[in-house]
Amino acid sequence: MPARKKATSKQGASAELPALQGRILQGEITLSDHVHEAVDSLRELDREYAMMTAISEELARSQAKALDAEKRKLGKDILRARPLLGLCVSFKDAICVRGVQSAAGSKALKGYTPVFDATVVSRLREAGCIVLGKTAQDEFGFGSFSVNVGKDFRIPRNPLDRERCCGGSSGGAAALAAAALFPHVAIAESTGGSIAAPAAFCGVHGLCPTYGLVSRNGLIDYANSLDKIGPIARSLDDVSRVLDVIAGFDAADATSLQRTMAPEAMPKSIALVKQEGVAEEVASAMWDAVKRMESSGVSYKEVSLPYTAKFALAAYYIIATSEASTNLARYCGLRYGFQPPVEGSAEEHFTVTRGEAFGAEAKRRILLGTYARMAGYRSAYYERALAVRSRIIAEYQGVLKRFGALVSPAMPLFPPRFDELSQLTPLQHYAMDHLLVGPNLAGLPHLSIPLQARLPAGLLLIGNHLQEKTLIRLGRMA
Amino acid sequence: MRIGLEVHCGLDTESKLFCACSARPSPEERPNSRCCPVCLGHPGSRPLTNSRAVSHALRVALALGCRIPAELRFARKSYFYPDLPKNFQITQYDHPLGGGGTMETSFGSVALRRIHLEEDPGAIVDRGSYVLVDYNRSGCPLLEIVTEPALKNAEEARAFVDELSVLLGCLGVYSPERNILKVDANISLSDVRVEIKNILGQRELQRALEYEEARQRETIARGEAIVQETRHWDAALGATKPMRSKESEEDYGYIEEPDLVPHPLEKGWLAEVRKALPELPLSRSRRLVKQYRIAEDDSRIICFSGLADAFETIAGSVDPVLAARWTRREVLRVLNLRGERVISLELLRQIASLLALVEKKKVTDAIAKELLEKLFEKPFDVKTRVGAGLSVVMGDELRAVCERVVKENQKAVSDYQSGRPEALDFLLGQVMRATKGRADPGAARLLLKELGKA
Ligand SMILES: [Zn+2]
Repeated sequence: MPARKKATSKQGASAELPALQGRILQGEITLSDHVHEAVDSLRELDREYAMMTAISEELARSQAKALDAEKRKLGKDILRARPLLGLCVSFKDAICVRGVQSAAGSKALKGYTPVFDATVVSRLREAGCIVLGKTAQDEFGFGSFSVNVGKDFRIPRNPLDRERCCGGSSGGAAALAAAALFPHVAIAESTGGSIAAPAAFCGVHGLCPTYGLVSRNGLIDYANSLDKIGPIARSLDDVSRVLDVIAGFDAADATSLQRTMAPEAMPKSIALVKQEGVAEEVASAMWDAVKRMESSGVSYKEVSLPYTAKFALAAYYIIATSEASTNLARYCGLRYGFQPPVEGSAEEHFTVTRGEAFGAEAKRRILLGTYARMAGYRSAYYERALAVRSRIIAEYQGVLKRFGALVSPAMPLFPPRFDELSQLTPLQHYAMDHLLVGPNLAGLPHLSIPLQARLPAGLLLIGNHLQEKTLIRLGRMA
Repeated sequence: MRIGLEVHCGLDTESKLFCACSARPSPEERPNSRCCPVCLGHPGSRPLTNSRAVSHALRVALALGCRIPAELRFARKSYFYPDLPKNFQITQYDHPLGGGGTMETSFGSVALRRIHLEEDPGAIVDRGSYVLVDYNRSGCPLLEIVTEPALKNAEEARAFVDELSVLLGCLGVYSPERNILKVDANISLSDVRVEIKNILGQRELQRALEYEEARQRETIARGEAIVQETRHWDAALGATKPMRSKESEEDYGYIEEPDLVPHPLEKGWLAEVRKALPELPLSRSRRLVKQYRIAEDDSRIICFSGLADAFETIAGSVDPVLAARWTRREVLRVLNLRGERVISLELLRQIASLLALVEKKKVTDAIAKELLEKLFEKPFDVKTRVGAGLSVVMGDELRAVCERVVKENQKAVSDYQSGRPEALDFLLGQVMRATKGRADPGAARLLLKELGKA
């Protein structure tokens, strides 16, 4: 199957965008022709793997037409204005694209078309990217395997093995990154590990940037203090070139950072985080990568993060669900999105709407989060979780003072088969994130890069705030 | 009886608290025409704090002597209601913009609990069998000022809100024409607290509290217990009614607003805001006493009723003591009668020239009071109306004229004494003729009655 072959050929992939741009500038292919082929191919992939929630063919075609006209006028100079000319991008369904259904994978927003583009969308369009559509995800990001999709949504399948999950919650994004036959970068989002987890399971690169580096303006919220937008791509070159465009201060987001990324550095040593419960094959693939880095002159030491190991998962779920339960309150069938026929009082209408619109996991997290912030429980749960988060950040900072990066597997196992997943309890599902929630809680950038193993797995590199460039450099050595 | 108030007043800013939409209603605007993704709560939209609203709120907090926290923080208050686009309100919880504080009033100091900034919800338009929602007001900045239960009665509560609105106007952060003012009140006759929600304006506040006090006294008189509850004021009915218990027992599940990072309230900025504060009513009152040698009582009422500017203008050309007495009594009386607070500059000029005539005894007090009311209806030129030749005969001069008329018209006097009141009109006519119409008719009539007694 061509998709599988492409997905595993890591080399060559990085050359794809420059090669395409060369052909466009030589006049061998127009952007319109390219988009035509890409959309056809995308439809085929989507039939096979169900990774899309919307394909924005009309938007893609009109963008291509406009870029073709611009190219005729500017010739080769167009690359200066549009450095990512011709790169196809997809957006996780939670990222708003004007005029294209943006539903965060939920029935609550089925049919909702935003009136504005998210900042990442407008920045990438400005850079010459073509918007192909929206990718499948767990409803509102509530999951680690992309099986908690909203009612009436399809579960995306892993392009490397249809019977296995893609990881979540940005499962469709990673699946398309792995399967696309054309230069493509998926724009995904991570709250507690939703970039690294699917990237690891689909055998591609996923970078979750420092909290605040990439604007959240236009992101349908899961948990605002944790949500980060970042790229998933087959090559680190693609990750890097897209990051350069989407990173940077945005006045429309009050949590956007004024500071920029630190210049690339070469760490002398890294810290290997001791972890429990990692599958043997995954652990040994990770050791291979660590040895490769060592042979390039990066020494390693094993460290433990006892406080994070003990409390991160609990603090994460309390903070994330507390915020999520307030974010989801607006979906009540009054102004937009899913609206059943209005009967009875406003309160009854809200109840019917929300009862029908949300899936089981969304309801579970609303209940959890509402409980954690109720008077009488607030200080025991929500406030304590905030205090724990500060101590976890301090624990990471302590280690990152001594080491250039932290290393661990991204996920403790190979992508589970769907029949295996259905055996797990909700708590076991939550525990799958345990390697990833730490850096997510601490707002630290982390990069998952494919490991060489029997099945896809990822090596997780965690850096200090704004050290994305250094992580990418380390990633090239692993 | 003890009353505590939560006053919610709109802040007079150009744009809303968290978006760029206009916060100022225009006369013929359509519903839902002043909205954007932020104030409609669209998914993915982000709030951005309007720093003008913050500096407005800071002016109030500093003027009231509140403790200012190191950082500005917002919180989410969750409840479901159709006028609340996000089904949570961005407000302040643990860290209000002002803690404690004191409001000086004409009847003493009132202790405050806190003041904080929050966004206004939209408005529900009741259409009988259904309701409509207008989000034009959604996201407008509101300041909530919470007092300790320190007010003694309905009248004091009303005066507090009256004087608060004067203070806010004097600080330039509130305009009664453009901004709303809503009050929640709690009232306890014994140790049971009853809350009354959603009272619009000062007049309604006094009515609601008077009703509630009477209701509670009757309840006690019947030997029944007062229930701790939340009631709402039905202005049309003129009564408070219990709210469904569900609404009053709501748990708002506050969390920090994660879309807004804590913003340091820098010392330099605070100093700047403080420096730009205008003279506040209490210190102005003290200054007026010293500068114009007017009665302290007059001065306090003038300053706390927002009439200090008017007084100082008038006192520029009239004896300050007279100006103070007239401003405090008559000008305030007419304003209250008309439910107004603003006096135009032209009107002030006319009031000053009227009082100058009073000072020179060219018009009597009674006529001046009448003219003052007429001036408020429609300003006119006082000097032309009264006229140079119309300087009024009164006092001893008028008494002498009356005595002469009585002496010369004994027939009419005896007619009057035998019960023919129209004879008095004849005598008054004689007085007016003798003075060429310059007599004060009211005073002359009184004098004639007195002199004509048998
Ligand atoms: Zn707005």
